[in-house]
Amino acid sequence: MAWIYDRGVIDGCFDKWIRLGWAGTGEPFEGFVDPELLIIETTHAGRYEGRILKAMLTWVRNFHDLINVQRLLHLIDAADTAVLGAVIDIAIQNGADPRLKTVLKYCKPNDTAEVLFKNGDEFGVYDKNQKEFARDEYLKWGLYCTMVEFYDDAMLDKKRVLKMNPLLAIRALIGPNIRSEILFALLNSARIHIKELSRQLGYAYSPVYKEIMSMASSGFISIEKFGRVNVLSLSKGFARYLSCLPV
Amino acid sequence: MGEILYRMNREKMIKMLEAFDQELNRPLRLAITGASALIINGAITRPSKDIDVLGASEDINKDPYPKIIEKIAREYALDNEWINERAKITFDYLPGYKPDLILLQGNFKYLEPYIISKADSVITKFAKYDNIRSWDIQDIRRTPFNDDDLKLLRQKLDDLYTRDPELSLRIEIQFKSIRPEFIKTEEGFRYSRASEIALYASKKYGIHLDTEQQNYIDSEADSFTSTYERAVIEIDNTALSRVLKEKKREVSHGLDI
Repeated sequence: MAWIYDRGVIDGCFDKWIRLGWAGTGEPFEGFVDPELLIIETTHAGRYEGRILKAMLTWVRNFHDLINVQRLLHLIDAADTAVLGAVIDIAIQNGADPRLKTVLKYCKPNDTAEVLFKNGDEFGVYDKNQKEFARDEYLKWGLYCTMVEFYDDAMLDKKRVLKMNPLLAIRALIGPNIRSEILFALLNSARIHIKELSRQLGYAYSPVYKEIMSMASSGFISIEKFGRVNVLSLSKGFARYLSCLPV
Repeated sequence: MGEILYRMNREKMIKMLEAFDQELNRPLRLAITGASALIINGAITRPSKDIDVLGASEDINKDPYPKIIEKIAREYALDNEWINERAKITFDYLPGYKPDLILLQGNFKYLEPYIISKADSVITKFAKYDNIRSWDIQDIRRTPFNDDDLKLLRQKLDDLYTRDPELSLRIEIQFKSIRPEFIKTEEGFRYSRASEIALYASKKYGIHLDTEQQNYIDSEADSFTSTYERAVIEIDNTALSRVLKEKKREVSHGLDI
């Protein structure tokens, strides 16, 4: 997919990774950060700014258990999948959960290898350097790059990351799945109907409906008739319980 | 959210060094390198989370320094390693390197903080040429250099060339490609004729450019297909190829033995 260079998007990615726990330069993004969407954006923006790609690599390695793989796959068509493949692959080689390998099946190496970072080097010196010293980890994805390093000293620990990101706190408790997404959405929006919820989350209606019914039968979610539609909200007790997060 | 606000700009770095000084009871000299050196000398404005120390008159990992560093980190909400010696790795690929140091003026009693020169920043950033980081390129692209900085860089690269021509050439080529505006003749003018390039090639590397090659360079520049700066970089690249070939030959001779 063609991605048009936009400094604003790159700066936005900076701030969003800071919100997710990277001690980078800038202020943390104000508001909710969708981790999977940010990963997808960074596969493009990170080619113009190596630090955010390194931040993503570190984050995926450190917090792999907070990634909603199903959601990442749902968004994958918008990614630069060669970059995503390289990042996930390197993260797995360095300790991330092998369940992320599922994502690799949907990633495609470049047919013709290209230099990962775009540096505006009019003389081609940097590109030549990257080709000369390219690491195998990238070559297998059709990319020339020498950077296999992590922000070991510039990534917050999990507890702090969860404190700054309530969705991730719910995922840490329940698992990075559709149920966490539904609960987080209901925590933040009162009286929503299933169709709108599934649209917001980017999931098909049927799995959202199935989870809602399951949670409603357990008493976690209340369903009320509002005119012709059924609207959802968290049951009061469960909302109180969830609002204790992040701990 | 205090955890992620521990980045330091120039003023805060100096303030932290002054706070560090106040905890000392004996002299300590520090050589500051990396992005922090560029930030302190005002070359770049981005903040950094740490101050990179290339060397110190005492081991700052031994008592009493870790406690002092920790205390300041706590008081000013900094990272625990807000000052560290990780940059010493520089000596792995630049053994015995002696940077030019500039004393940082400030309110110091015992501490003598020095920052490495901009010329040394270029050399230390690009010396690890098999892993040049894209943000190091950005830092050097944004750093202002004056004639004295460039003269010092020239001297240092020439000196390095006598010991390690490959390393010297790789750093020089990388720098020129980022800052082509500094590709100039010995007299300090921009190249404007192929004959000047030929002189450069011959004097510096003993590379001969014949008339046909010179005509080609001029015609490319005249038709805006290329530039004289590009031609200079190509000469440097040719010199590098020769050095690498020579190195390869030496290795194969070594294997014959």
